[in-house]
Amino acid sequence: MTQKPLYRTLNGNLAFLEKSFGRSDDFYTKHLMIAGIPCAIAMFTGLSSPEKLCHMALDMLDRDPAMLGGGEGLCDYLLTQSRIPAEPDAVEDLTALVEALSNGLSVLLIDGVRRAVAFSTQEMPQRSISTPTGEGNLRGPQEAFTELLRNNISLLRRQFRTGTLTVEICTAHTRTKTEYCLCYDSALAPQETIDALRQRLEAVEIPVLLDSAYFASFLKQDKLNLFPAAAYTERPATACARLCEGKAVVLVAGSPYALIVPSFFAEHFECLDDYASGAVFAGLIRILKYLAFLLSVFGPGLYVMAVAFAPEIIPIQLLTKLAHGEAATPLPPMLEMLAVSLLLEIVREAGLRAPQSISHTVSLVGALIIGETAVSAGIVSVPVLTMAAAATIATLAVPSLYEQSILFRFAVILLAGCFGVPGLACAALTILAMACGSEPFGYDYLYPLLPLSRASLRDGFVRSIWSRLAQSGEVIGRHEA
Amino acid sequence: MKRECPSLFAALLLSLLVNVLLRSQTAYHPRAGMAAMVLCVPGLAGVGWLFARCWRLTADPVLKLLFGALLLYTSVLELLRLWQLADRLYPGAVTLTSICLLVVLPVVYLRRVSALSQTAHAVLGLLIAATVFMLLTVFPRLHVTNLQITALGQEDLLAAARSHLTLYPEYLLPALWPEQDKCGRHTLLRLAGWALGFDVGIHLVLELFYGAAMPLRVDPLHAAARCGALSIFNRLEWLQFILWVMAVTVKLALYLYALVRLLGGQSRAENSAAGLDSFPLYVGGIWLLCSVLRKLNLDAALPLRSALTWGFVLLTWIGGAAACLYKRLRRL
Repeated sequence: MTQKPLYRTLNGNLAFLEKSFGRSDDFYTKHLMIAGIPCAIAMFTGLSSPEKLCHMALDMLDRDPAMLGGGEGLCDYLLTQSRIPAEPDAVEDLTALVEALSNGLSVLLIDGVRRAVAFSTQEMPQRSISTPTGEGNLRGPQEAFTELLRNNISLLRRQFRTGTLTVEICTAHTRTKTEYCLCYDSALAPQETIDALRQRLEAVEIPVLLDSAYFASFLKQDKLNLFPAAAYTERPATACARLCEGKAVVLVAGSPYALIVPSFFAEHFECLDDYASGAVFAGLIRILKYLAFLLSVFGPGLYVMAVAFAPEIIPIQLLTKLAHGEAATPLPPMLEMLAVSLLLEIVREAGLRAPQSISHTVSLVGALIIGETAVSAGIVSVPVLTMAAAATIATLAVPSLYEQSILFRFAVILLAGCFGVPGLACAALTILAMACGSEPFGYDYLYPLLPLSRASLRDGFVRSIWSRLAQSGEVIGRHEA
Repeated sequence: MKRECPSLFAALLLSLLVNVLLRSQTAYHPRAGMAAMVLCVPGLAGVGWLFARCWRLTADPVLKLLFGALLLYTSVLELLRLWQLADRLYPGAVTLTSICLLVVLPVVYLRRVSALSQTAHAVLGLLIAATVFMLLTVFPRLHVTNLQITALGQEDLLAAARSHLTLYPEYLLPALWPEQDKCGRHTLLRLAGWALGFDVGIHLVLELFYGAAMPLRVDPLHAAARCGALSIFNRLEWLQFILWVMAVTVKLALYLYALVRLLGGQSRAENSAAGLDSFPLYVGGIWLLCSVLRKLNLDAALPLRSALTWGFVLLTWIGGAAACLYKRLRRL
């Protein structure tokens, strides 16, 4: 779309709109006279409400005195003097006109004027604010973001009630002109990071932007690195907490998930409940989550390595049981473990994608019937099934690293199954190097876990009591010049 | 929190420690090692310092090429040493090709200085923790009565000094780092001190463990680790081995970074990753060299490497002295 100015004549503008949207049945135009000046209203009926427009503007205009100065006078009057809450900036070009209409605004076109007046008369069907479905918490606020960008901003602003919360709304370079907004605390967030983020988001060019996660890939420094460059949350409270740490939150219109940048590894093991419950219990839970992550990634691979290459490391009683189980199955341990892990993933995927009414049946059939039958038939051994199931459950303890856990697990099983101890070493070092090599906007991805410091115990592996946490809140970039 | 100036000290130290861990036999008595350390630590640090001074004056393409060849040769020797150890511990489980691939492939993720630095810190921490843990599990088997009380002869001291003065490229690498003056005070002294201290400490533990039989044992540290017991895992040698493989990978990544610097790469931003274009060439080259040298006698090749390193250092010193003299003559 070219940046052509509006036509001076009403007919010219209407002809342009007719050409652009004429085939759309939800496009609505109406000619009217205001103070003797020919005008026209244009809007999309599904996005804007004609009643709202009448109530907001047209009724008032009927009561207002006759205009002096013709069309230009009417336009100036509406923009600057009238009590009618029009948008403060006039629409001056055809691109802006199309964007305003697509955003659900009503536009008043005036004959003889190269400007148009927009009114916020949006009335879009929307999902009401509900509880988060993917981030379970016992305590704390139970609101979740929705698909409407303005609603999400208001949810955030309601939690973050200071003048330093900056919200920059931009339009992405997509075919669908999706809006996104960059939120940060101007007093806490490092300017350098915000500038770099703004620049990278502006440079993103994709055909369609349906979720905030689409941006994540563009924010990665090393495309070979599997660790995420950003975190996601559907809770305004979590987003607010991250803003208080000096981080930026990116909201995308149509997506109920906020993108948090920069994101650190330790954040995947934190949740709102950690701070609502006691420090000792929260510390214990956090350590359990780290262990669960290690189990989910390395457990099956370690089992395969021990059984296939180094049985001497297993105590004799346990070894006897494992050998008994393995002797009854036809497949080698690596293939057995891969097959069971793949099957579990298929069951999970089927349960997730299947219609809700039959998803429970899918899970039940997968877990009970196939598992039980496979063991009875001697296709898989009980220890392999136990280990694979334990690893799958452990993965769910850290849901935000689910993709990584699965990919790493398969890699570890393959490497440990093919090469034994050196294979396991290679896999472990590759994962460690990926985590160490991840540099979200120049920050240490493993902060505050590595390098080991007071911060590791303050709010890293465990968390301190609130009186200590409150002494100096963790803010990124605070120690940088 | 922010990666402003990643330090490669941990990577250098880890590379030196892995030489101690992968040693197939002990080299000296701990008491002799302790005595020799007093002179060898400042000696090695002095060699590194003088090399850095001379390198700045004389770094010409021929010397760079020689240094690069030395690093490549050392990388191959480390891989061969690891392969031979793996073959002794898990016979038939791994081939030379698989060891090459398993050790070199993770280097892809260590091309950035900050990644290398952070990973080295993590592996060093894990290595120290695992070594301490291993020591705790074999603690009941350490006996003070195993310490040898025979009088030390000149030969013992010479053997210890010879072992200590093995010159590894790690002492020379800081000369290649950008802004080497900013890399901390007494870097080389700390490096030599920690490395030799660790070496002597390990020898002491092994003497407490084996007593007079210490010099006769093959892979003594690994054999000691085999005696450690846990309730779930009977032996801990696999854990040690995993960490040693990791340490060798970090060492190769460090050498690759040095090679890239020698070949003129990474001049724009020091923390930008070395390109992936030439990485297959590096992997292929290493694998080819390993295949060609697979039958090399490491007991002879490792001392030869040290002698070559000393020779290279001498050459650089001579070049540095000549360059310095030439500068002064020109001023006159």
